[in-house]
Amino acid sequence: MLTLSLVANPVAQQEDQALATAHSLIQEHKNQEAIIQLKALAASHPGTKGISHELGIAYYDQADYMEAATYLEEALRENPEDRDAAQLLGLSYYFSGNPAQAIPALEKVRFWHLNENIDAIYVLGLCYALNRNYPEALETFAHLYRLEPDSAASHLMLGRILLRQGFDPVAEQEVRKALALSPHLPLAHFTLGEFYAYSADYPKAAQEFQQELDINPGYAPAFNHLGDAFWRLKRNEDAERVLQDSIWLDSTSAEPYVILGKVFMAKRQLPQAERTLRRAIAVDSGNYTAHYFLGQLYRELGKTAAAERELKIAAHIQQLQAQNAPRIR
Amino acid sequence: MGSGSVRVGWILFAVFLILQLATTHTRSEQTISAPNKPPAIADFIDIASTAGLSASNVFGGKESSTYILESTGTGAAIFDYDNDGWPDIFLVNGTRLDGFDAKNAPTSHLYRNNHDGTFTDVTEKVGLVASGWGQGACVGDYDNDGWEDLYVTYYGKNRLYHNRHGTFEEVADIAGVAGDGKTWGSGCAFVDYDRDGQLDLVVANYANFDIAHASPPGKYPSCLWKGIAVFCGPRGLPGGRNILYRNLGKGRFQDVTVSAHIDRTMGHYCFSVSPFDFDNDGWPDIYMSCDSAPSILYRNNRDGTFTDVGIFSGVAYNVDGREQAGMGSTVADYDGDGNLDLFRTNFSDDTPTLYHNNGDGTFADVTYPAGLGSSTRYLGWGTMFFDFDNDGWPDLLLVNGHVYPEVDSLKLGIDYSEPKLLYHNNGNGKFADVSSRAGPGINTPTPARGLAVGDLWNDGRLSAVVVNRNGAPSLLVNRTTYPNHWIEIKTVGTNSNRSGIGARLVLKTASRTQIDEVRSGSSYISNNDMRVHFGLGTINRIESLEVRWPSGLVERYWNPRADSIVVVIEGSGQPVGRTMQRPPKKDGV
Repeated sequence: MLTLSLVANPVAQQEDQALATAHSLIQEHKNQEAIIQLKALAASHPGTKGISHELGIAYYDQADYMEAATYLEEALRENPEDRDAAQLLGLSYYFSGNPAQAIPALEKVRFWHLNENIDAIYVLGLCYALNRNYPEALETFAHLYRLEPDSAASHLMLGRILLRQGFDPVAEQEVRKALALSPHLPLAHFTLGEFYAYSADYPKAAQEFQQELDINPGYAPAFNHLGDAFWRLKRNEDAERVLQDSIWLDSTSAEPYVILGKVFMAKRQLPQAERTLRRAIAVDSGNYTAHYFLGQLYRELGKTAAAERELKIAAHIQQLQAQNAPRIR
Repeated sequence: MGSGSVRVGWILFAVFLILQLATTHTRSEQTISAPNKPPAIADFIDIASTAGLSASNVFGGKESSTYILESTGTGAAIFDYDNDGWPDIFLVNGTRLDGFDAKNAPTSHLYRNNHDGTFTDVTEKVGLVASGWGQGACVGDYDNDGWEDLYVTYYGKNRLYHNRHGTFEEVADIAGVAGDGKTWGSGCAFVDYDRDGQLDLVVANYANFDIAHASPPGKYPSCLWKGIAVFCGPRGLPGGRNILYRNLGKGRFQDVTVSAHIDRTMGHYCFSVSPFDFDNDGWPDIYMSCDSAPSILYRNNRDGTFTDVGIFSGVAYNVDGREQAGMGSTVADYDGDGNLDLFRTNFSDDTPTLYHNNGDGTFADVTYPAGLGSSTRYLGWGTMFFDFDNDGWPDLLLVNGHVYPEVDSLKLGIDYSEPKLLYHNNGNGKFADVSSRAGPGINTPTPARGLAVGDLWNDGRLSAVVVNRNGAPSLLVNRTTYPNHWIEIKTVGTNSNRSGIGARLVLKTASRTQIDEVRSGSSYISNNDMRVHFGLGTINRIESLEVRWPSGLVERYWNPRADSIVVVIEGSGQPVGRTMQRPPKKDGV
C-alpha cells in the first residue's frame, strides 16, 4: 500500500503542476498555449480532474464561447459545485446567443451569490427577458438595483433595459405600467420619448420629452432629445430655444451643440452653425455627426478641401467603430 | 411591334382580368360598401399562380439560416427575350446548403408571356436551366445584335447568357465575365460607361465568404441579434470587390476595375446597382447601395475612370451622417425638377432613405419631410419608383421581409414575412403611405426579396414581379383603372448601344417636363422592363420627346402618341444637337 501511494503521488503532483502552469498561462492571457498544454495533458493523463475547468476558462477568455460552454459543461459534471464554471457557462451561453440555456447556470450563481456577482445576475435578468419571462426579469433587475419588486421604479428599470436590447414593444408596456403606478416618475416619459424617436414618430417623441421636462425640469438630455425632435419637425425656433436651455444646464456634453449646429444650418445661419459644430468637436472630437455636418457646411460654403477633410474624419470614425466591433474569425 | 397582336393580347388579358375580378367579386363589394373605410387608391392582387408562375423559390433553410449566404434571396428580370413585343419574366433561383442531386436541383426560370395574362415556363426549351446559389440578374444587348442578353450573378461563377434569337448560350468564361468562382456576386447592370456604343458590365460583390470555413450562428458576439444566435455577418467578414468589365467587342470583356479606379472603394458589402447620370453631364454614373457600410456613388470622370463621391455628395449616409444597411435602390425625378433623385431601402429598425438631388452634385436626405420616415418596422429589399396610377408622379413600391427566420420566436411584433409598402407621390415633394388601401397584393405578408416592375400586358399599367424567399413568386396586378394617360418609350440605338441603355428621355407636355433614363439593373439585384414609362395624368397630348443618346446625338420626336408604346430609333428623329463632346471611337472602329 505504501509502495502504491509512493508511486501514485508523483503522478498526481505532475498533473497538479501541469494544471497550475496552464492556469498561470491563462492568467497571462496566453490562452492558446494553455489550451495546447491542457489538451496534451488530457491525452497523456485521461480522467484528470480540472482540465475541463481550465479549458473552459481559456476558451472563455479568448471569447470562443461555444467551445468554452462545451468544456464548462464537462467541468460542472465533474464538480457540480464549481461556481466559477457555472458563472462562465451561463455567460458563455448568453454571449453565444443561447439565453434559455444560460438560465439554469446563472440561477445557480444567483443562489450561491445572492448579493454579489452582479454581472452574472444582470445577464440572468437579460436572459429571462430574451426568453420572454418578463416577470422573472422584472424581479431580477429590481433586486439588482435594490428596488421594490413590481414597483413603478422596477418597471421603469426593466423598460429602459429592454429598450436598449431592442425589445421596443415590451419596453413600452413596462414604462406604461410604471406610469400607471406613478404618473410623475422621472425618466418614464423620457424613455417613452426615446421609444417614439426610435420609431421615427417625432411628434409623439416631442410630447413625451416635454412631459419629462414638466416633471424633471433640470434634465439636460431631455432638452437635447426634444431639440432633436423639433429639428426633425422643422420647428427650428423651438429647437434652438430648448437646446440653449440644455447648454446652460450642462455645457460639457457635445450633444446639444451638435443638434444646435444642425438647427443653425437649417436656419441658414452658417457662421453660427460653424462655431457651434466646432464647439461640439472641441468637447467630443469623436462625434462623427459633428464632423459630418461641419463637412456639409464647408461644402455649402465652397470650402471643398475643408469639407473633404471633415467628411473623411466622419467616415473614419465610423469605420473605426465598425472595426472595433468583435470580428468573425 | 404589331398593333394587331397587341390589341388581341389586350382583349385576352382583359377577359382574364374580368375572370379574376369575378372570383373575388364578393370581397370587392364588401370592400366598397364597408362603412367608414377610405376609398381604395389601388387594388393590387397576386395572380402569380393563375398566371403560371408556378416554380417556388429555393434559397437556403426554411426555418432558420445557418449562414448569411442563405439570407439574401434572389432577383427577377423583366425583358422581351423573344422579341415578340411582350415582356417575359426571369426568376433567379438558389439552392440549399445540403444541395440536391443533379436530377432534382432547382433552376432559375424563364416564363414566356402568352399575351393573354398567362405565362409558360420555357426554361429548358431556351437553354436557361442552371443551378447554384443564384443571386441577381441584369439585361442588356451587349453584342448589339438586337436580342437582349442576360447576366446572372452567383455565389460562385457568374453566368452570361448570349441570346441567340430566342435561345441562350452560356458564354461567361469565354467572354471573361465569369469571375474567379470564389466571389459572391450580387447586383449588376449593363452600362456604356465609356459611351463607345458597346455595353459594359458592372457587378457588385457582397462579401468574401468561404462556406467551407464559415462560423455557425452565435459563434461570436457579432453573430447575435437582439440576444439570439443568428448567422454571422456581414460585419466581420471581408467585404466584396466590385468589378467593372469593359466590352471589347466580339463577345469579349476586360476587367478594368483597377484602371477605372472602381477598386479604390473596397469592402462595402454592396448589393444593388443603379446607373444614372446624377450630375447631368451626359455620362453615366453608378450608385451601389451597400449593407452596413457607406453606399457608393461612382462619378464618371469621363476618361475611363470613376471617383467615389458618395460621402461628399451626401448619398453614402443618412441625414445624421450615419451609415445604414442598404439593400435596394431606385432612381427617378420624383419632384419633377429635372434632376434624378435616389431612394434606398434599408434594414429594419431604420427608415428607407430618399435623397433629393440638389442639382449641384449634392443630395439631401429628405426622407422624413417627404413622408417616408414613418415606418422603421420593415426590412426593405426590392424597391422601384413606378407611377401606378399614371398621374405623372412616380410612386414608390417597397417589398419587405426579414433576414432572420428566428425573428418570429421573439414575439416582438416583428415577423419574418412582411407586407409591402406602397407610397403615393402627392406631386408636392411628399408621399403618402397608401399601403392599407392598396389591395391584398400589397398587404399580404411574404419574405420578399427581388422586385421587377414592367408593363407586362402592354396596356400602360405597371405590374410588379416579386421573388419571395423559399416561396412562390408574386405577380402583382392592379385592378383599379384610372382616367389618366401614359406613354412608354422603347429605345433602339444605332450608334449607341442597341438597347439604348443610358439614353436620357425628356418628355414635354403643356404643363410639365418629365425626365428619366433607360436603365439596366436597379431595384434589389433585379432588372426592370427597360421601356421607359411616363404617366401623363389628364394630359393626352405630348408636345415632344427629346432623346439624348449615349452616342452624343440629341434628337427630338414631335407629338408622340399618348397611350401607346413608342419605339424610337436613333437617327430617326429631328437632330437638335449633341451632348458633351462625342467620345473618341476606340480601336479605329
